[in-house]
Amino acid sequence: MMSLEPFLYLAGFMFAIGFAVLVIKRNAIFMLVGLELMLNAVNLNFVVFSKMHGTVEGQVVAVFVIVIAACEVAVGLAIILNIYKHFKNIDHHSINELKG
Amino acid sequence: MELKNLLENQIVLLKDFLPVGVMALGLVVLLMSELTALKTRYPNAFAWIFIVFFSVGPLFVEPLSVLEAKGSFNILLSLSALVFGLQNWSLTDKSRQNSEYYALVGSIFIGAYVLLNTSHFLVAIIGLELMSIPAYLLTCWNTKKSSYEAGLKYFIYGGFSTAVLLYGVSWWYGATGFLELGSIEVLVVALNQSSTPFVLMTAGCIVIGLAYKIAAFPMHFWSPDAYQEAPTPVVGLFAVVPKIAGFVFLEKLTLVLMGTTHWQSVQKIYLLLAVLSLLLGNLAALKQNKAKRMMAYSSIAHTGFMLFPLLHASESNLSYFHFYLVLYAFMNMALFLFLDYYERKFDVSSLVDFKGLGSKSVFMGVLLLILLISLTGLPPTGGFIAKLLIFTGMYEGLVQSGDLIFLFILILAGINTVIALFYYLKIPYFMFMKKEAVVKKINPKSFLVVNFLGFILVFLITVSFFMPTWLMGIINNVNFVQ
Amino acid sequence: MEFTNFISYFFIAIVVVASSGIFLTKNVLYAALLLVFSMLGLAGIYVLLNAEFVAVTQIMIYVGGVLVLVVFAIMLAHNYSGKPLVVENNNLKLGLFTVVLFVGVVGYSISGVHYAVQKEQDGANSVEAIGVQLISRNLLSFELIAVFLLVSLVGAIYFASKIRKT
Repeated sequence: MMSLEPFLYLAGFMFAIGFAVLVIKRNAIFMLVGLELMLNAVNLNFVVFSKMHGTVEGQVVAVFVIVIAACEVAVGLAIILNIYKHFKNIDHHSINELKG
Repeated sequence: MELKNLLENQIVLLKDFLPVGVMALGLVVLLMSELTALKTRYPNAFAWIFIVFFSVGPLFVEPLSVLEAKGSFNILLSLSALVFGLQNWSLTDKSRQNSEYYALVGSIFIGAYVLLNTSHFLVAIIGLELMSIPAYLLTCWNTKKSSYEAGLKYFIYGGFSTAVLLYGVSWWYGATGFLELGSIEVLVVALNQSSTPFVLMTAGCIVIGLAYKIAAFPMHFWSPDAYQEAPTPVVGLFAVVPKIAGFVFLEKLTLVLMGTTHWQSVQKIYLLLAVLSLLLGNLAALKQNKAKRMMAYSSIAHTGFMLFPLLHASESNLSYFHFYLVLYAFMNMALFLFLDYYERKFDVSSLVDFKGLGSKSVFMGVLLLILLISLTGLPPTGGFIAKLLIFTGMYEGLVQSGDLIFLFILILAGINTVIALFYYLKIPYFMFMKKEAVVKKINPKSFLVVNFLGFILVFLITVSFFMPTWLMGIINNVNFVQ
Repeated sequence: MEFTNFISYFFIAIVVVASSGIFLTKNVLYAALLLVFSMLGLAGIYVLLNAEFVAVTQIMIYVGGVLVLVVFAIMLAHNYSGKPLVVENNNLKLGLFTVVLFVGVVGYSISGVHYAVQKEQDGANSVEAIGVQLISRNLLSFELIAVFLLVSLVGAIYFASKIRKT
């Protein structure tokens, strides 16, 4: 088996990409996709470490993180659809009623 | 078989889950009673169910083997549930006679309970999520355009910080092989073998993830919007419950990090967070004109203050920290009780609306004045003692370690207390010094319970000035986190 | 040996290409579909890392559930007028800078990591081990996640029902 390091760098790369998507995209659903990438990077890390330490604890955490991510998406989309109803678009920049 | 043994062991352990079980049962009862005719017959039934389950639930404290619940911030949690329930009971509103409303709030309490009592990262993360997901939705509760906007912002920042926290935890797990924070020595040995930049990155990710829950500097953006848009009793919860739970967990993390050889560098993260939250909170609060928004910034500034004792977490300093945390909880519970009262009775939302209200309700006005003095940190209130203790702790840090950081903190905190005076006293200034020309509408509803609760809380705050040893004794007698 | 290496790098390449695609594309629908690809690539990596259960969960929940949800939301939240669903980029340079900075910081800091335990998993039945963990050491988390699911479903349904009413 190859060394596990490349997977950790892959996770770091995915996390960075997810973060960048969150920063640069103005569409709320796009931001959600970025969030999913970040959470998947975390999962990859946990699975790699689980393999490294020879326990399944990391895999258990990964399963929990998947559930958490799914719930976040469900709740987030409920909010985003309400936003769409009120603002008629989901561009993060035109949603700026609150200031201060 | 092995599996059977495992299950039997678990059934013995099940009594440990009692508090969570009681609260989860409360959730189910709330949601089920929506199906019955209870709501039409007794509009306040949900509030009562909430009070019964959620103010009793956290009190089933036993030395739990899984959760290590020796802490007694649980009592504070139970008190907060009681205040929240009574507040909603007395200020009945159509949109709050919903089982979903109480169920979402109940989930915040379950999350806070587990976060307070666990030292296991996985349980803590689920606890954090149990607190944040309902918080996003409760921010949108008024279903206005702007409240959805606040909810969306809260959601995006929340999701981001969850991801950052999880990334930090994954590296922590990789480096130490443990998800528990319980065995400090083992963790310290494991962390000492890694390089300082690595520990900085890991601890930084975890601390920033937690900073979002306690509304500290880099993750504070959500808080003014959410405070402005959420229903006021819920804002009272946002300011108290997640903050206390987050701080207690952060303290457990700090106790581990403190032992490592990297503490000198990791300390800088805490220092940066604390100083920037304090400055930003106080300076931004100065130019606000909405009451709840101002209080959001004030709460950010308080967070900065509460981070200082963690920089030098000696035993005495930690007890000062707990004292401040308890008083902070009292003050904010009372504060949002009062804001809700004024909002309901006189339709107050911005600071100017407070004009001349002092003469309309003198009793509440004086109580609010005492409360705001306490929030500023002036005598004769408990807030003064709390601030004084933090200053004492910083002075001890200066003497013991000789680190000039603590001198810098002392000066900065002193200046900030003066700044805080300006914005806190704006409200009493408008209330007592200005005359209102037009008589505003007054809602004739009875607010006896709120008056009474507010009185009790302010009384407690004042008493803790004259008898700080009394409160300190209680705090020291019950075992906190260790 | 060589063959597993090859497969690993193949999956890594899939994930890298797909996630870079998400970063570069301006079309929301493409982003959702590219997310499917990176999820599938990750599932492959999980299988290589002896985490079959996580791999299956990944495919079922992400590809089968979350992505369908996202695509539905894209349909509901955009006016379709035949034009592609293009969104504006906010600040591409800032984004690139973030990626480079983050990869740099993480890469630098993880070069100094010391892993606590280093022993290879003996290829045991990880599904069974996860099941035992879920009802023994992580029973509390398991119960809490049930409460969490209940609450987020109730909340999501409550707010989804608000969309219809005006």
